[in-house]
Amino acid sequence: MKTFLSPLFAKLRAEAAFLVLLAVAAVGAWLYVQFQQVRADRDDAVHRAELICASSGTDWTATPGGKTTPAYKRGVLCRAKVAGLADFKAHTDELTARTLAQALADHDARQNTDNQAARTAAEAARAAAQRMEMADAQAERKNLVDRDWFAAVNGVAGLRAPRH
Amino acid sequence: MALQACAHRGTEPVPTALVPDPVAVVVKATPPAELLRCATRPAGIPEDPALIAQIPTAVRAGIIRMATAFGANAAQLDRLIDWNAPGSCASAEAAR
Repeated sequence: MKTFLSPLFAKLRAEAAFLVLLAVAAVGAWLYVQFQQVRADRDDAVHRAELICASSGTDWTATPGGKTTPAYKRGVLCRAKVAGLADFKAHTDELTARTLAQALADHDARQNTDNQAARTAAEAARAAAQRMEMADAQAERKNLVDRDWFAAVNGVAGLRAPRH
Repeated sequence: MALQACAHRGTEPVPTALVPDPVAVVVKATPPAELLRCATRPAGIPEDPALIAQIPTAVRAGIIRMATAFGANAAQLDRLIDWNAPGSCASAEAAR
């Protein structure tokens, strides 16, 4: 066995430099492929970031600072804008819900108040109508109307006699 | 590495107020003040024992119809105004 392998090892030893080169080349090729994949991935991610920023209405690129404005790194303005928009939506939803709930509660309160007012008015009108009927029946025979009849008329109209 | 990134982010200028504050506006369709006047209720017929009149049945019926309608309309107007501006005519009615 050893006699069989020894010429092979000898040959390998002679070509050691080439074998090392081959190994290095293989590693290099593998790294190159990895780098290509990473670069494609990065370009895709940056492109998507640019699209997201553009749809939010801001720039992905870095902003140079002015005299009064600080310089922003790329994506900072965009991120702040998107966060602000999300916050805006959440708060708007909350405010809208609260406003609608308040409107509903107000409507219910009005309905209750009006129901009470309607009941009171209907009871008063019914009582006044009965009184009017009685007073008018009394006046029916001679067509003579007196204080009772006038008071009943004031009652159905919801009015009061003038004060003297 | 991560700590460095955090430390770096702390010094980075962060913009503020890129988005306006949210506003939910309540739209109120308030009628003109003229339409919100409570029902006019003048003084009625004098209730004086000395006053006696002879009124034919048909005229009496007409007077009763008008008085009844006046009362119903005034009550309805007050309720309508109270619906729009709660409490504005209920106090007026209570003061009567």
